[in-house]
Amino acid sequence: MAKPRPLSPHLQVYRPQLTSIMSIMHRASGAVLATGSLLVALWLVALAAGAAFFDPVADAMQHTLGQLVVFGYSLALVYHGLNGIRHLMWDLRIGLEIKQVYQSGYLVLGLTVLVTAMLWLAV
Amino acid sequence: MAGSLAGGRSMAQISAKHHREPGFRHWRWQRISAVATLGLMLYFTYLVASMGPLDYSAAMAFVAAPQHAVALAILVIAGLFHAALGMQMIIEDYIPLASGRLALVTIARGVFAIAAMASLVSVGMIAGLI
Repeated sequence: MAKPRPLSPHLQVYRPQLTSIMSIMHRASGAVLATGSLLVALWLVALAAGAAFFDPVADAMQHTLGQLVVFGYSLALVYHGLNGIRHLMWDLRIGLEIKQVYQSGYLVLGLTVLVTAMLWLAV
Repeated sequence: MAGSLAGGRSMAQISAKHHREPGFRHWRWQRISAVATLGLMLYFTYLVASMGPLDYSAAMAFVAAPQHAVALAILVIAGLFHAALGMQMIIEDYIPLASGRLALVTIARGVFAIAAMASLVSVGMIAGLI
């Protein structure tokens, strides 16, 4: 058989840069959110099913591991949301100069830490 | 995800001229669902951070409130639709056609569709509509 066609995005041939790292982080956080959203669906279904089904779910979320999962999910949510705004801006042809791309990149990283910290301190 | 293409046209302008192309349909719906989810993003992150300590009666009272039930229903539809489109993109990028790419995309769609339906029915039951 012929050599299989290469698949994008050829991560291994690039030197890591802020732009490429943030791009793959967008995809990774998206995958985390997609998986985590199934857990949110489970939370809703368990709640509708009654206390007998919901209580174990609530207990799992109180567990340190459960709290870690929820925190990771919220971090992915904040990053993907903020970086998503950055992507939508690019679609509107805003901020496409290399310098602006780096500025918005650092802004998104800073805001992600800030918003996530504020969120958990406020709750 | 390129923003500006040759000739200074944006992806949004080009997609309008090729709206029958499946790739452009995917691109456009990905953005529509993204904007819909973004509108409720801050609400949802706050909800995620606060849902841990909720016990059964508190969680029931929360989801049953009309404004929360409506917000959750929109989030579930737009968010899980966005998730299905995103997972399709990831699968298409990394899984070769010969390794069951199409089957995986179909399975992913089915999983998210079932999750969305189950969530919607659950919210409806909790809110007392079903």
